[in-house]
Amino acid sequence: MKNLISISFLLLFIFTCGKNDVDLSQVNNLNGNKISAFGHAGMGISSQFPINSFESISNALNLGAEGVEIDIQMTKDSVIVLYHDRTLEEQTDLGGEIFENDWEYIQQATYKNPIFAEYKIVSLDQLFEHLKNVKDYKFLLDFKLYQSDHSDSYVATFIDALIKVIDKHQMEDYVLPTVYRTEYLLKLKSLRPNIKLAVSTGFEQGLVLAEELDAHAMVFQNEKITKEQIQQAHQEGFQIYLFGLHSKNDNLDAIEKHPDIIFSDKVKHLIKVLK
Amino acid sequence: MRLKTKYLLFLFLFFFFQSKSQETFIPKHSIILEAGGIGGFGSLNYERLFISKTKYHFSYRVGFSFFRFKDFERKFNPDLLFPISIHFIKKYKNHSIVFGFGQTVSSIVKASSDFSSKVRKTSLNPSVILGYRFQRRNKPFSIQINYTPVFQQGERFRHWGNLGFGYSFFQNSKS
Repeated sequence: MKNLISISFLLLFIFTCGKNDVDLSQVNNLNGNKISAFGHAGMGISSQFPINSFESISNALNLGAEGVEIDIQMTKDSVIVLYHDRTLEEQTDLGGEIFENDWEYIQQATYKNPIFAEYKIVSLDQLFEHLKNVKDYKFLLDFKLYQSDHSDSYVATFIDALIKVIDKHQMEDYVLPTVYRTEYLLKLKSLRPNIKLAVSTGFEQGLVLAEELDAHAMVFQNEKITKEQIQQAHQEGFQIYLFGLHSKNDNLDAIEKHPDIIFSDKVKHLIKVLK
Repeated sequence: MRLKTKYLLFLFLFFFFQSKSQETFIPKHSIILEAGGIGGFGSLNYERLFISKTKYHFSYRVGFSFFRFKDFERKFNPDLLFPISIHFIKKYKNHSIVFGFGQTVSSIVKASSDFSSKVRKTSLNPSVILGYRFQRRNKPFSIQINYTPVFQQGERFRHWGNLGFGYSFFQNSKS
């Protein structure tokens, strides 16, 4: 009898392991009633690849992600590069900040992790140039603005540098820029009205801003938005992108809210669940 | 039983137990599973003592480790690590202090410097080993903890460490 109970528990454990109870037939959103799986800065923060590295992004896309969120900053000599942190020493063997150094210096940096590997910082131009089948994917460009200068001339330089890369690779339909500072989005909208913008702020304020900018989407941390708010945003005509997902449970929780895109650190799990 | 036979039996038992009590088992060969260390995130190693004295040993170790199996294009193209090292092991009963030098041969797949292609880069990564090992006398299992700073490609200093679990195969020797 004891053995029978043990075997039953073992079988129950085996059959319930890895089972993800999500009903995708009920998904109702502005993305053709499907949720797109995106990688957070590539494969996410817990990956063996450094976030925003070429290898991490390529790995996520080859795994089946429909796109990736990437963090962009501008160097002193106006090159748009992919890097998340404020200082280079936080992730690389060099020091200083992106905005106060030239690209020639920054491209010498090597990511500190993982040990024995030697991954480099990539520019947006290099990413679009060398990523295979780049137009099969979407790229949420998250502006990281650590410099104190947000003058009109700085904003214009930043947006010009970004547009230059987008135009060079004809990526206008494949990028989704997002930033919490309105002046950057306004400038971009004025120069490239067809680019789909995503606003990143609080819910009520975000709705107003999205309306004002004729934005395509709103970006939220998963834990800061409810399913009802997402439904409201959909009714107003705005897609919802969710980030801040670090675990498989976070993925499942986000899916229940029926957003349009999810950016996850557990991208492999997310792809599997949404397939 | 005759007296002579008794005497011979006594001598046999005396010398048998005497020699048994002085017998020492030297952990000549060991298999060590390491978490961390000069094999990256973990490695499987073979260690052999090549000089073995009562109070100290010298050993060498060779290992093998996978970093990952698929490259960033999801093709089977494993990153490989081959840690090799040489150690001086000072023994204090069940406890040992270990000093050593190592070299990890790494063969990692990455994007080329201009990101236009995929390349496999092989490099040497020297390291220093400073550790503690616990192994009961004549018992096969050991546990070891090491500080193993690595000079990545001989340039960048990285603090690193490991936890190892070993199983030894003894060579019987008399002291």
